[in-house]
Parts: sequence; structure tokens; C-alpha cells
Amino acid sequence: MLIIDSLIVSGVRFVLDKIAAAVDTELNDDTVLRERLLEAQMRVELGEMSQAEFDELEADILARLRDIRDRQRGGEAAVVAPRDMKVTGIEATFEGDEH
Amino acid sequence: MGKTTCAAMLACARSSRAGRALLVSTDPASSLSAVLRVRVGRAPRQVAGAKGLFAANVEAAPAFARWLAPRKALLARIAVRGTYLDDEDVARLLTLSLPGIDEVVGLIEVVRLAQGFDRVFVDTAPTGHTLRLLAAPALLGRAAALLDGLQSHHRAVFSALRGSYQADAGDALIADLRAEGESLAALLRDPSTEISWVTLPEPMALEETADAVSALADAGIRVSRLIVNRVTAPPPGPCDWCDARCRFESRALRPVARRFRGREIVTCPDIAREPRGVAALTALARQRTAWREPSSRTPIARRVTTAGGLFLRRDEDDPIVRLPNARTMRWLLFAGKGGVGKTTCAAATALRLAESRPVLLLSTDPAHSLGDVFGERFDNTPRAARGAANLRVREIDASEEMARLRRDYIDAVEAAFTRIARTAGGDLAAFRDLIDLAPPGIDEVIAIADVAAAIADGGGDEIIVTDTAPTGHALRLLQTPSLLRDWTRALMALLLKYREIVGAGALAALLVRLSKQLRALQDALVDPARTAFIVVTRPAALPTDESRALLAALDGLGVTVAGVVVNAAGRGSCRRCRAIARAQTAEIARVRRLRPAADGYAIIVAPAEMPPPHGAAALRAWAGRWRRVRS
Repeated sequence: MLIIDSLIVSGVRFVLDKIAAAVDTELNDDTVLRERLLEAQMRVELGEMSQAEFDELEADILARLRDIRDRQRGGEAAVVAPRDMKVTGIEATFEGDEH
Repeated sequence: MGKTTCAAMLACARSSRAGRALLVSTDPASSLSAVLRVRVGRAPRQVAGAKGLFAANVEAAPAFARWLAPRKALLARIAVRGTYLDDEDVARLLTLSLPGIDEVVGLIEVVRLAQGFDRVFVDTAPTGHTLRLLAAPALLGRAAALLDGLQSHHRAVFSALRGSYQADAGDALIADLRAEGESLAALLRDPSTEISWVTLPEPMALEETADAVSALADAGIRVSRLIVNRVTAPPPGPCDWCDARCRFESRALRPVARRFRGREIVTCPDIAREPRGVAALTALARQRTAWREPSSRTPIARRVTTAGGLFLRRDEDDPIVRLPNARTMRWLLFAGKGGVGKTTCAAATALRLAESRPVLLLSTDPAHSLGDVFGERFDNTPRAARGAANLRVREIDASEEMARLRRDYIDAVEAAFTRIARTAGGDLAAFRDLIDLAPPGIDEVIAIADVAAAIADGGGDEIIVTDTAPTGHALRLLQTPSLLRDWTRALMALLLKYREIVGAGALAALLVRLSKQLRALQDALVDPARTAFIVVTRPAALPTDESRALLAALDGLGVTVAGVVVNAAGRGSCRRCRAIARAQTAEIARVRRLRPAADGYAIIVAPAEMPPPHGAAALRAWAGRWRRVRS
């Protein structure tokens, strides 16, 4: 039983680690944003996105890129700094019948 | 140069020999019909009056469609098996046109048409593009290599599952392609293949010939015969023009025997009436003579100019500066038949315009001759011309531009594929090698797209004067951007579809940049406020015919034509010169009838000069003598 619990716990920890990494990427990695911008540019060239839609998206992405740059320059990570967080343990409560 | 005339002359002269002969043109702007005076189509047709002689034109699009049809399904199957692409992706790629494929298919089509004939005479496109036609075998080899890479993945999977592999139809297709490339290469180098190079008794034409002969020699192809066409015979009476022309030609021709040692050299006389039809061509064949060292002559003492009556307006000079939209104009392109003097006219115009604003003179013809016109060397980097303030000159090195794009592309593809296992499928190799399948001619479009981007930026007031390749290929240069853009769009669609696997990255950035540049090029070419074409012609029947076709084609593409320059008009005072001048006057009248007089469209006559203008000062002075024809 303990083995199963430990497996579940490490599985959940793995997922949470991934979520933390994804949040980190979203907040601090500009590659994703740049890729999104390129995708949008391709959609404009393909006629799948209007120039107005692109301009709006571009303004948003550029603003976020600026945020990232400012944070990096300031030497501080995002307010929610996932890199500084570590999943150390899981507290789980089981309810209902145990089999 | 008279390539078609010389090819037809040789074919007519030899057609009386036993057997069937075929005369075929691979020039997209073929003038075989006009020279033979018979309708020439894409199927060989008997030429009346010439025993056993048939004629045909290679038409690229149907020829390629015929070549592709039986192979298409198999090509698709190889691509689907060898990559992550699905049926829909591959089908989309295979429906795209391959710009520039005409030159590659040309050679294959000639071989197909040649079946059943004992001798074949091929009239090719002008210099720059003929050199590329001859590169066709290598392109087939590269296509075979790419397919082989895709197929090897299939072979490996098949062997792993079944224990052994048996060659299938895909392997047979790859082997066929490779064999076709090798047999074309062998044919070009076969001793039974004679390559005759047609040139004129002028320094510029002879320089171009020397360059081409050495480029061919580098490719292992030997030019066996040199035909020096339109050599001036001594005049029937005293004539300053003919005397100057004869001196000029003999000075130009003196080094010919040394420079083209070991080759048969034949000369053909300049005759008053262009030879048209079998009888006239056969008569011309009788007048050709073996090479004789020209007698030593003193240089021309003074420049001989001509003008003639020729409907000229006396009340207005400087027709170039008065071109419509001269103020907003950013791009002026010179187009026309090979050998009519496009480069000289473009250079003279650029010099004239440079008197009031900065000008960039640009050549896109792979057989550049701006350097010969100015008497100095130019290259891919714009450089000031001697004796010309405000003027920079650049001879586009399309291969250098293409090599740069190729490097960027390969880096981008490799970066994109680092995300997935390199062993998975043949995608990396297929996408990386795709660029090596870019048919000849793409490089010019890539190179000129940069220029268009500069125009689109709108900065500065520099006007770009462009000397283009001869007609057929200049038109292709205009049609290619949209075809090439279809390719960038197809690749972008694939990248979006598979973005979770490969990511957008550098490849997306490259495709977006290319797509934008091509769009800017398309927009700039059809913008009447910024861009105009000048058609250059000579006052002779064949060039007029070709100008008519060129004007119609330019109209069809929606580009603005600001005028026609009739170059090298006028002759001397002897009986022969007077007859030629009369014929020229009739041709200028025909040029006037090509399209109605209108504001913003000028017919300009550029007088013949002997020696022809060379160097900045002479060119500028010559452009000052251009006159508009009365409308």
C-alpha cells in the first residue's frame, strides 16, 4: 500500500513540477512568445489572420516580452517565481472505502 | 545575335542531305515561325521547301506536365513513405508549379522530340540561360538523390520487418531519373553533338562569347564552331559609316582566331534584308565563309553618327528625363530581345538620370555586360562608376545571393529538426535538400527581391535602373515571384500544421521574410507610380515582332510600359546603307503602330554610332542625342 501511495505521490509531484516549469516558461521564457509571434506572422502571410488581428496580438506579445526583459534586467524573477519553488512533499487525504 | 537565323540557316543548308532533320527551339521567346515563315508549334511539322526538315518549339509547361504525369503518383508515394507528411500535404506540394523548370525540361523534351530524326538542330535561349539549360542533368541527379534518401527510410523499415527488401516501382523511378540525368550529360559531351556559338563582330559580344565558351569548357562541354554573324562587307561606294564599321569590326575580330583557337570559325555577311523563309536562309548559307584574318586597319579617326529623318521631333530633347512619373519613379526596367543593346541603353539612361538624382544601375542578366559597357569591373556590391557622379553600379551575383539563402535555410531546417529524433523519417534530409532542387532562375528572383524590399521601404530618392535578361527570361523573372511565394506559403502551412513537433523558429522567420519580400516585389512591379518598363528594340523585322509579343506579355502582367527605345537607327550614305535606312524607317513605322500614342508612353530613337558608345562620357553624350518620335 505504501508503495502504491508513494508511486501516486511521486506521480503527482512530477505533474506539479511540470506545471511549475510551464508557468516558469510562460512567465520568463521569451522563446514561446517569439514562436507565437512567428506563427501569427505566418498566418497573416497565409491569409488566415487579418492585419488588425495581428497588430492586436503583436502589441500584447511585445508588451509581455518587455515585461520579461524588464524582469531579467532587474535581476528579479516573476512575482510567482516557480524556479524558487520546489515541490517538497504532498499531503493527501484519502476518503471512502479502501480496497 | 541572329541565333535563330543561324540555326535555321544551318538546318536548311543541310536538310537536302539524306535523312530527316529536326530544327527545335528551346527559347521561351522563340522566333522560329518568323524566321522560317511557317507556323511552328510544339509538334514537329514539315517545313515546306526544305526536304526532310521539320521544326518545333519546346513549350515548357505542357512538356513538364507530360513528363510529370506518369511519375506523379509514385513521387507522392515516395514522399509520404519517407516523411511525416500525409497524402494531403504531398498532394499540395506536387500541385505547385516549379518556376524555372522550363529550362530543365527543355533538354529532356528535345531528346523526346528527336526520336525518329537523323539530325537535330537546337536553337537555344540567349547566353545566360543556355548555360543553365546545360545544368539540367545535374538537377535531375539531385532530384534522384533526394528521392533516394526518402526511399532509404522505407527500405530500412521494410527490411527490418520482412527480413529482406525487394526493389519496387519507387526504386525504378529513382534509377530512371538518375539514368536520364546521366544520359543527358553524356549527350552534351558526345562527339556527335556540335555546339555552335553565334556572336557578332563587336567587342562586347565577343567578350560574352569568350566567357560563355570558358564556362562551358569548365562544365566539360566543348563549343566546336563559332559563327560570327552580320559582318559588314566593303561598301558599294564611298561611305563614312561602312568604312568606320569595317574598321571597327576588323579591330574587334583580330584576336578571334587566337582566342578561339582549335574551333571552326565561320562568318556570315550583314545583308540588307533579314533572311526570312527557306530560300533566303539557303541563300545566306551559301554566303557564309570560312575565317580569314581581317586586314590590318587603322582605328576610326572620328566618331561617325547617324540620325536620318525617322519621324523625329526636333522640338524636344532629353526624352529620358521627361519620362512620365519621373519624379515619383523608383524603378525603371529595360527589357527586350537578346542583342538589341539593352545594356547600353540602360547604362545611357542611368547616366542621364544621375545628372539630377542618385541612381543605382543593376544588371540581372546572368551574362552581365555592364562592365563591358563602362570599361571597368563591377560585382555584387554596388560601386561608383568612373566619371559618373551619383551613379552606383551592381552586377547581381545571383548565385552568391542564393548561396546565402541556402545557408540560412539549411541552418533553419536543422534547428527545426533538432527537436525530433534525427533518425525519425527522412524529413530532415528531404526538407534540407529541397532547396537544392530550386530550379535555375530562382536565384535571380531571390536576388531581386532584396531590391524590391529597398523600394518598398520608400527611403531615399534613389532610382533603380535595371538591365534584365533577354525577353523570355525577363518575363519569367516577372512571373516567378508569385510561384515562389506559393512555395513559401505551402511550407509555412506545413510548419503550422506540424508546429508542435518541429516548432516555428528560424525556419518560420526565414519563410516569413521571404514571403514578405516576394509580396513587396509583386507589388512594386505593378505599381505605375513607382515602376515602369522600357522596351528596347532595333529597327528590324524580328525585333519588332518580338517587341509586339513582349508588350502584350507586359500588359498581361499588369506592368506599366513607359516607352520603346528603337536602338541603333540610321546608316551611312552608300546605296546599301540607304536601302537599310529605308527598311529601318518602315520598321519604326511598325513600332509606332504597335500601340496607340498616349500620355506616358514614348517611342524614342537612339541613333547608331560608330564606334558604339563606350564609357561614361560617350554614353552620356549619346543619350543626349536620343529623340522622341513624333506621335
